[in-house]
Amino acid sequence: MLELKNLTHCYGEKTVIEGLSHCFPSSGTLLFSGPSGAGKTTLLRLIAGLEKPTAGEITSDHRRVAMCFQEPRLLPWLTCLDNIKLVLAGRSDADTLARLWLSRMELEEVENALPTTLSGGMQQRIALARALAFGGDLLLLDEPFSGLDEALKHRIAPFLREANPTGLTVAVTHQKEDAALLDATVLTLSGSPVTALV
Amino acid sequence: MKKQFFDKWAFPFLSVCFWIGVWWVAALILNKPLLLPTPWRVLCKLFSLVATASFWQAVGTSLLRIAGGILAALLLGTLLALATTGVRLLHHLFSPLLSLCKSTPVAAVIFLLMLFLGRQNVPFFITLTVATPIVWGNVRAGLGAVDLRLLEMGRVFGLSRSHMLLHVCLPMLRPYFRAACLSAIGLAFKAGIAAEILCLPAGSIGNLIYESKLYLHTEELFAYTLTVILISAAIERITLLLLKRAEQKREVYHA
Repeated sequence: MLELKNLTHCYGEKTVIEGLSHCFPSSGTLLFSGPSGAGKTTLLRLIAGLEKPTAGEITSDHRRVAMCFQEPRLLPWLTCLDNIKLVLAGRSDADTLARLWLSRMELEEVENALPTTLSGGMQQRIALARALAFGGDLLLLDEPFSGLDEALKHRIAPFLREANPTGLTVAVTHQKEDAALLDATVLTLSGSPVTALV
Repeated sequence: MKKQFFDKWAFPFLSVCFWIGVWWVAALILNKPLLLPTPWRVLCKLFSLVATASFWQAVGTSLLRIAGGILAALLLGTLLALATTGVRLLHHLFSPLLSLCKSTPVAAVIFLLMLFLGRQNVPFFITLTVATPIVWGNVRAGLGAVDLRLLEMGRVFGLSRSHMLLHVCLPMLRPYFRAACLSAIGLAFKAGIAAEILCLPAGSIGNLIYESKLYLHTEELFAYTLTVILISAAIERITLLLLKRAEQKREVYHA
């Protein structure tokens, strides 16, 4: 279970989220929707524990968190394969798993390439492969389809839907039509600052 | 491939040949070996010196002192960079010291250190004094340029401290550390030998250079200077190779 209790978050003088309370199910797929600058990424970062709320609290019984950031955040000095294997350190099946997710993202041919030699869309898919291979019970995806064309989006979406069958997946996107692709329940950020998820 | 060969080997070699040629022509025109001997005579002198035990003893002693100073500076500079980046108060406390070390004339520091430490120890400490601010400044710049987003990524995926250090932090610092090493080595040799010339510790290259100057043995003076240049270049090259090897070792990464 993931619960937000009277959550408030400010950046300096600007309040982005104010008194937000919400209880999420422990499994399933949710999609935060809202216009640009509404606070979707901030909410995702608060859930990931990357930022401390100004007030209120977040309680979660999820132990392993995986996240795909808005930008790929790949280590430029490691190959694509090693970027994925890095987060799987200590697992005996790291190599197999990393290759499996690379092939699912249709990137097996670039496994030994350095990320900087790839296009933005390809880097984003490596980042997705890294998050999905990690296999957390809370999967956070910030604009997972950015830089991908429509055909590729449709080919990759099933893997995103099935990646976390027993845990909770939370995606952020400004395109509501992505909800159908992910088979997700849409939660729209309401108010400015955000006061509710509807 | 061809361009790489020219850039890496042919042009540097031709450039060195050109300047040796300039030196040779100048020596022939001047025709005063006591002031400017030809490269050939310097080379002959160097060959006769390398056959003596005192030459190798002096090289060993000077190298030990200066290399020791460089290693100590790498350690101290890195620690200071970490401390002053992590603790704001320490940054304010040590920053004036850094500026002071950079701007104080080396000769003045040599004489001051000689009063407190004795002539044998000055070359080591002067190397340390000159090289530490360089390492400190470079590593600090590297720490300032660390990509926080990558650290955040590592935190989210729960990377261990050793993995964070080896695979995320150190590669980001690598170019800064390399630059620190190269600048520090060049300056350390200059300052270290200068300290030896002024303090005259027994059995050092600086001492031999001073004596060559005193008795107007210009060929010897040039030969010892050439020795220092070659040692400095060799140490620089070895350091680069070691850093490169460490990089390759780390890049053959298997989780």
